[in-house]
Formats: sequence, structure tokens, C-alpha cells
Amino acid sequence: MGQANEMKILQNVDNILNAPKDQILTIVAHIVDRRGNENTRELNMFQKGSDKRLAKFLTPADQKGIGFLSLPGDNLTLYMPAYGKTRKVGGHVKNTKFAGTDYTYEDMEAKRYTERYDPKLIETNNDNWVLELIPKDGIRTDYTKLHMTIRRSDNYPIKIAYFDKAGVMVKILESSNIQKTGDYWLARQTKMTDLKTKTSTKMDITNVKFDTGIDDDIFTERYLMR
Amino acid sequence: MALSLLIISNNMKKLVTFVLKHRIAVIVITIVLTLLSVWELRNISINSDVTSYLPADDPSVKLFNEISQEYSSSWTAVLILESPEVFTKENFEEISLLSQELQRLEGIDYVVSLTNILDIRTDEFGFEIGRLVDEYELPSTPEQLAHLKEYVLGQKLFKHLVSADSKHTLIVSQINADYDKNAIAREIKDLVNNLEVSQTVYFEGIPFQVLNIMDSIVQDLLLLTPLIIIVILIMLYIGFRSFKWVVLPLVTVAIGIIWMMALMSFSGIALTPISDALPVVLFAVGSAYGIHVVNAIRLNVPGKENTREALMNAVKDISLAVILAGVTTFAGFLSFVFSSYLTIIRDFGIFAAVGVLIILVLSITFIPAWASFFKKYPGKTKESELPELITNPFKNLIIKRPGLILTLSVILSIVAFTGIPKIERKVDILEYFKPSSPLRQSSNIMNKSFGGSLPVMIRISGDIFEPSTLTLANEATTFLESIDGLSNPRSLAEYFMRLNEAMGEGEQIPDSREKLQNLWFMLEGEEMMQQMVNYDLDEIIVYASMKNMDAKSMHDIYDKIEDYVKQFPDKMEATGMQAIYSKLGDSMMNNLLQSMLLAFIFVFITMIFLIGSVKGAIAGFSTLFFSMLMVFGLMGYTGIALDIATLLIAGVTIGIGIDYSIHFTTAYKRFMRQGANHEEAVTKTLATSGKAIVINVVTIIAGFLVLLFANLIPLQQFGILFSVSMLCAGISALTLLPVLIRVFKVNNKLKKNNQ
Repeated sequence: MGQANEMKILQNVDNILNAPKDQILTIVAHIVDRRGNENTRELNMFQKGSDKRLAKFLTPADQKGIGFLSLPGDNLTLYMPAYGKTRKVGGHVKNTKFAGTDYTYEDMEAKRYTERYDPKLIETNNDNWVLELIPKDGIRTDYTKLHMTIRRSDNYPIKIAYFDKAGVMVKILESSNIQKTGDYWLARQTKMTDLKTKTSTKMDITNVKFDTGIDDDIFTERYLMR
Repeated sequence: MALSLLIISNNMKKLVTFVLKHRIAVIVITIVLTLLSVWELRNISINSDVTSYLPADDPSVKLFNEISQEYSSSWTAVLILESPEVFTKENFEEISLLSQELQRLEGIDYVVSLTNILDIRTDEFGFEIGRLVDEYELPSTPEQLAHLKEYVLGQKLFKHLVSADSKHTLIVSQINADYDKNAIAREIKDLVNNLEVSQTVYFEGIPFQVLNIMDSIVQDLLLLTPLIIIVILIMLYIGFRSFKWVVLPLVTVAIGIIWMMALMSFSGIALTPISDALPVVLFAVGSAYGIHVVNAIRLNVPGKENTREALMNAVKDISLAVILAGVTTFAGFLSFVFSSYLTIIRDFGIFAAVGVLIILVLSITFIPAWASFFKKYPGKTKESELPELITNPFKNLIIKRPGLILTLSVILSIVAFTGIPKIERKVDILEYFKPSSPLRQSSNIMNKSFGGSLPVMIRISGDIFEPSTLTLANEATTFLESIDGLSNPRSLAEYFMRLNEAMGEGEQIPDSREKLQNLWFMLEGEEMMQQMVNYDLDEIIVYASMKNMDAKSMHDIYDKIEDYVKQFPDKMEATGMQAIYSKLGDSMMNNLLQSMLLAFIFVFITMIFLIGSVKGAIAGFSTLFFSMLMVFGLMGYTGIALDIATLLIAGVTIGIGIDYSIHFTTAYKRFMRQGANHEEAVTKTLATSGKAIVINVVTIIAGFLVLLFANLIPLQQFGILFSVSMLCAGISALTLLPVLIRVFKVNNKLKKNNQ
């Protein structure tokens, strides 16, 4: 197995994940804390390509209307309905947790793995490949490596293990309920478990629409404030 | 009364006969129980967690524990990093490295330091909520560092992490409450040592205190126990000059201590900085019973034809006195149990009492059983002349100059009495450790550069999304700031205010519920929030740090805070070390008086029972009263403060000091019963029990002086005070007591009883 093959596998993953031209998702996030208590959040998410995103919270009631707009160039805008204002949120935010979930802003970013990581095939069986992903030079990330488990049948990444600077596994992302909607594969359920804090967040995608031709107008502050 | 004594005396005879008849069984049972105890000892544990020493039902303690539990605050381990200047490239690299390495340790929930603390920065376009410092791009140029320093030192949010002179910075680690504080604290220490940081590191916070105290407990045990054994050995040898008579009492006490500690272990009671002195105390105190029994044997058995009968008589005669002495000591220790604020004192009292009882029983069973196997009984020929050198002058004084003794006693008593109002109280547990102890070094830095390390907390109850709740928290913060000796008051309110400013509405509490809820969205996932607000979001803690200070100043702060909090009865509750230490201080005086009263009563009853007359009991008590006065006077004049160890002094002095009076009186009675007059009885008593009393006093003083080597200053002082009280009790038993017996004409009553 040469490098070329591993690269190809990763390329396929990128293609699958970034295939849709645009997507409108309704997500229910279940956040479970260390003591086992659960909180639920519901949000709508609009995404165009791989670098424009708008998220609007629907529930709980005291967070309804809060929104985020993510544009290329580390451009993140927050909307607080109670203040009726938007504010730009700075770049250091990336490795802090998004909305109290176990996903950091970095985790939430749409990305192309091939642009950020060098892959190495470390395991093969009948069902899956496992790639070890090492960040390329110059890439800033909390993780020294990732282990990605990819389904051979459809090139969908079903599990990613995140390792910290000491090489200790600190988070696991698991994708399940992978369905094909139209032309596209999507995991309807993902779960991020933080092994250090012993918390987890499950994201259920309850509604999905692909390629509806989302207007660029959506990805503006004006729309964010609606 | 005399009849009851006769009954007891007969029972003694039965007991001793029984023991000697079944001497093999006695010895075998003793050995078996000892082996079982040694086996149990492997389970003995150490409890060095100071927060567990406090009574759980005290409201201040209860609230403190509740808050500690909910917010995991007693699991906070702090590293103090010291260097000429914090804001250098190398130091920041070290801080970053340490923070990350600590974060990785299993059992650490999160770490807060200059390199990862939450920062909220605002400009006219928006705000940045992230980390103070980018750990991928640590400040490295002089400009960056200077800029950062200026920013940090000007912000309230960071004041608790870096000192104003920027020579010290803190790394605060939160240990998970499910983990063993000790073990994690040790891991942190190992980590720091392995990393070889260039900055000097001090360890602060309860997890490290617990570790230090544990080390000091082990040290005490390993140093003091062998020391006390050596001292007792030497004393016994000087007194008795024979290997047999030395080994007998020594081994007996050792066995008793082993049984007692096995009982402790079995009951799940752990060793503490106080109870690690139990071996010393029991060796010093318990050897008395063995000494008296051995003394009786060696005075009466050698040279007799029927050794068995002589042995029986000797033991029978001394048993009563030994039992009464033991019972009063037992009562003296037990007096702590009902009157102590700290659990460690209560436990000390219980097990000292139990230990005394065990050693007592062993002294009148095991010693005679063992002695009955001797082929030879070393006798008077080898004994030391020393005790007589001491008792002879007393004899002359008592008989020829009783008035002098009385006058001297009265004068000394008056002088001592005037010292009593000067007695101070010391409640700060930290001051119990030597100045060189690492505990004190780190708390000195905290006091000097961070406004102290003692926690003060006000719990505010109320929905955190109601602006009024946060306003209340702010007011409490302002109030705490105004108190001298407190610093760095902080609460959740500040974060909301910063975010409100970031949203362009000024640094103040948002004016609506909706705004607060929106802002909470940004703060919610931050681990630091766990310390500031509870899970149900209806409680905020306002923290402040307090310096170590004298008891009175701390009490003033306690009073001020209580008065403030009273204004908001359903909304505010305060606790913290100001409350706990103040209550400790208040209780100490009460504890002292209570234990003194309890001991007095019980022992007084015993004395009446023994002497058969109230006057006699008063005479016996005079020696104690005198000793207590001398001790308190000493405390007042020398500045030895009343603290958790020295408050034991009253109960212990009464319980043990009375022994000398008991021994003197029982021997005196015996000789009077045999027909002697006062002078003859005094002479004979001094020659017999008197000698034993001298050996006893010297031994016990030498034993307690071993405590001078203890780690805990209160234990050292306790050793000194107790030695003084024993000296006074012993001397007055040999001088004042016989004079008072004569003065109160107690002996007339005794003669009447016998006719």
C-alpha cells in the first residue's frame, strides 16, 4: 500500500463530507455532563460549500434566537437577541467549546482533511480502513494525531479518535445512522465523547435538505439578526 | 465507706489469687491477643485531612463542607512559582508546560494559570472570549511581554493569579473529588520535580497540606516512639537497677499500646497529628501502673520463704491503689470526649482512656503472672539511692516545718493566679507547625503577595438570571473588599459584567433576564464556572482570600461578616476559615472548663470513696488545684497559648496528678491502720510509695519531654506544660498533702473508722 493509496482514501472521505453544494440541517444536541445529567439544544444550520455556515438556536427557550455566522478567514459573528446586536468573536475561540457541547469551534469547522493532514494506513480489515492522520507543518491544532476509521463500503468516516500532545487519546467522535439522502451520504447521528472531562454530546440530525440553492444573503449579519 | 473498701480489698485478693492460679492461661491469652493485634495493625490508616477534624454538625462547618462538595474547592491544589520576574519568555514557557502536563494527569479536572485563563477582551467592533495567552504563540519579545504585563496587572480578573510585584504567579489545579487527594498531590509534586523548572515552586492548598501533615504524622511516630521507649528504659533502670524489673513494665505497656492501636484500626479510627502522640502519652502514663506493681513486688517478695504468698500479698496491697489511679486517669481522658469541638481531640480522649484501661488490667494480671515464674527476685540491695535523696528532705519539711510548706504553696498560688488573665488563644492550624515547615513558607507567600490563602465564602441564593441576584453578589463583593485582611473578592457577577461590556452596554450587570441568559450561553461550557455557580443555577459563591492572623482579629472579621449577612437572611450565608477558627477559639475555653469540671467531679467522687471523708478528698485535691494553678500561671507568663493540644492539659493533669495523692493516701492509711502515728506513717509512706512516686514523676516527665521533638508546636508545648504540672503534682503530693491531712485532722477520722 503506497502513500498514494492512503491519500486517495482520505480524498474520498473529503469528497463525501463536502459533496453537498449546500445543506440545511436541523440538529438536536444532547449534552451529558460528568454527573450524567442531560441538557438538550436544538438548532438550525445552513452551510454553503465548506466555508460558510450559519447556526440559529431554537431551543431551549432562553437561548432561542442566538446565532452564529462563520465566514472564511476566521470570521465569526455572534448574535444575541436580548441585546439586539451582533458582535465579532475573536480567533482564540477556536479551541474553546461550542455552545457548551464537547465540540470545539475547530471540530465544527467544515474542513478538508487532505489539506490539513498527512495520512498513513495503519490497519485494514474486511469492513474498514484505519488511517493515522498527522497534522501538516504549520497547521495549528490541539491534536497531535487522529485515528480515522473509514467504512470501505462507502468511504464514510465512522470513527475519529483524537490524541493530545502526549499521544493520549482524549476525544472520540463516532458517526452512525449513515443514510443516503438524494445523492449524498450523511451520518444522522454523531457523538463526541470527551474522555478527560467524562462528558459527551450527541448530535441528532432530525431534518436535512441538500442543494436547495441557498442564497448568499443568508450568510449575512442581517439574516443572522432575524 | 470503710466497709466498701474492705469488700473491694477482699475482691482484690480473689482476683490476684485467680490470676496466679491461672497464670499460664493469662500469659497465653495475652500473647495470642497481642499477635492478633499486630496482625490488625496492618490496617491502620492515617487521616491528615484537616477539614475532617471539624464537627460536621456545626453550621459553619456544614456550610463549608456543602460548598466544598458542590464546588470541589477543597480539592484545589496550588503551585506558587517564584522568580525575579514572572513576565519572561522562559517563565511563560515553563508555566505553559506545567499547565499542560498537569492537565494531562488523571484525576485533574482542569488547570488555571496565566497561560490558559479565560479572558474577555473588548474593542469597538466586538469582543474576544478566549484565553489570555495563545499557547501556540507564547509572548516572547520584550514588547509583547511588557504589554501583557501591563494588561494583566491592571485587570481584576487576574489579580488572584499574579502578585502585584510580579514575582509570584499561581497555577491552580482542580482535583476531581472522586480521586484520592493525597495520591494526586504526590503525583503533582513528582511531576514538578521531574520537570526541573527554573522557577522556585511552593505547594499550597489543602491537598498539599494534607500531604505535609501526613508526612509529619509518620515522622512523629517513627521518631517519638523509639525515643520514648529508650527514655522509659533508662528511667526504669535507674530506678530499679535490674533487667527483670525494667523489662516487665516496659513490655506490658508496649503490649497495651499495641492492643489499643489495633482497636483503633478495627474501629476505623485513623491516626492524626494529635493521636500520633498516643504511644508517647501511654508509655509515659501507663508505665506508672507497672512501676507500682513491680515496686510492691520487689519490696515484699525477695527474702520471703513462700514467694507465691508474698507475691500475692504484694500485688493485692498495691492493686487497689493502682486500680483507683487508673480509673481516675481513665476519667481524666474521657472528659475530652463530651467537651471537644474537634473530632481528633475526642478520638484522642477515647483511645487514651481505653489504652490506660488496658494497661491497667495488664499490670495487675500479666505482670504478676509473669513474675510468678521468676526463680530469683532481685531485691533491695541493688536499688538506687536517688529517690531517697529526694524524699528525705521532704520528710524533714513535713514533720518539722509544715507551716513553711503551707505558706509557700499559698504564695505561689497567688502569683500563678495573676498570670491567668494573660493566657492567649491560638486557633490557626497553620501556626501549629514550625516556621521552617513548607506549609508555613508557602502560606507566608500567599499572605504577602496574594492577600492570603484562607477561604472566605458568602453563598448567595437566587436565580442567577435575575439581575437582582447578581447585584447582591456585587454588593457582597464590595463589602468584602472593604474589610482589612481580606482581598481578591470575586464572583460570577464580574464575568457577566465583562460580557455586558463586550456587548456594548458598559461594565455593569445586564438589566434583563434575557440578556443574562444570552450571556450565559458563552460562559456555560467553561470549566471555571463550576467554581462560581452551582449545577441548578440558583446559587453563586462570592469568594475572598484571608490572611493568617491572630485569633482576635479573625474573630472581628467573623463578627463583621455575620452582621452583614444577617441583613439578607434568606439570600446570604457566610462561612470560611474566619468562622471556623473563631468557633474553634470560642469552644476551646468552654472545652477546657468543661473537661476540667468533668474530671474534677469524677475524681472527687473517687477520692471520697477512697478516703472515706470529704475533708480527705479536698486535701487530696489540693495538690491538683495547686498544679493547675501553676500550669495556667505559666501559660499566662510565658505566652504558651491555649490551643488544641494544650487544652488537654486540665483533664490529663487531673486524671494523672491525682494518682500521686491516691498512692500516698492509700499507703498512709495502711500504716495508720497498722497502728503508726502521723510521723511514723509519713516516714514509712515516703520510704515506700514515696519512692515509687518519685520514680513515677521523673519517668513521666522524661517521657513527656520527648514531645519536644514532635512536629506540632502544640504537642511540644503540651509536653512542657504537662511536665510542669506533674512536677507540681508530685511535689505537692509529697509535701502539701501530708500537711493538709494533718491540718484537716483527716487521720482522726481514719482512726475512728478502724475502731
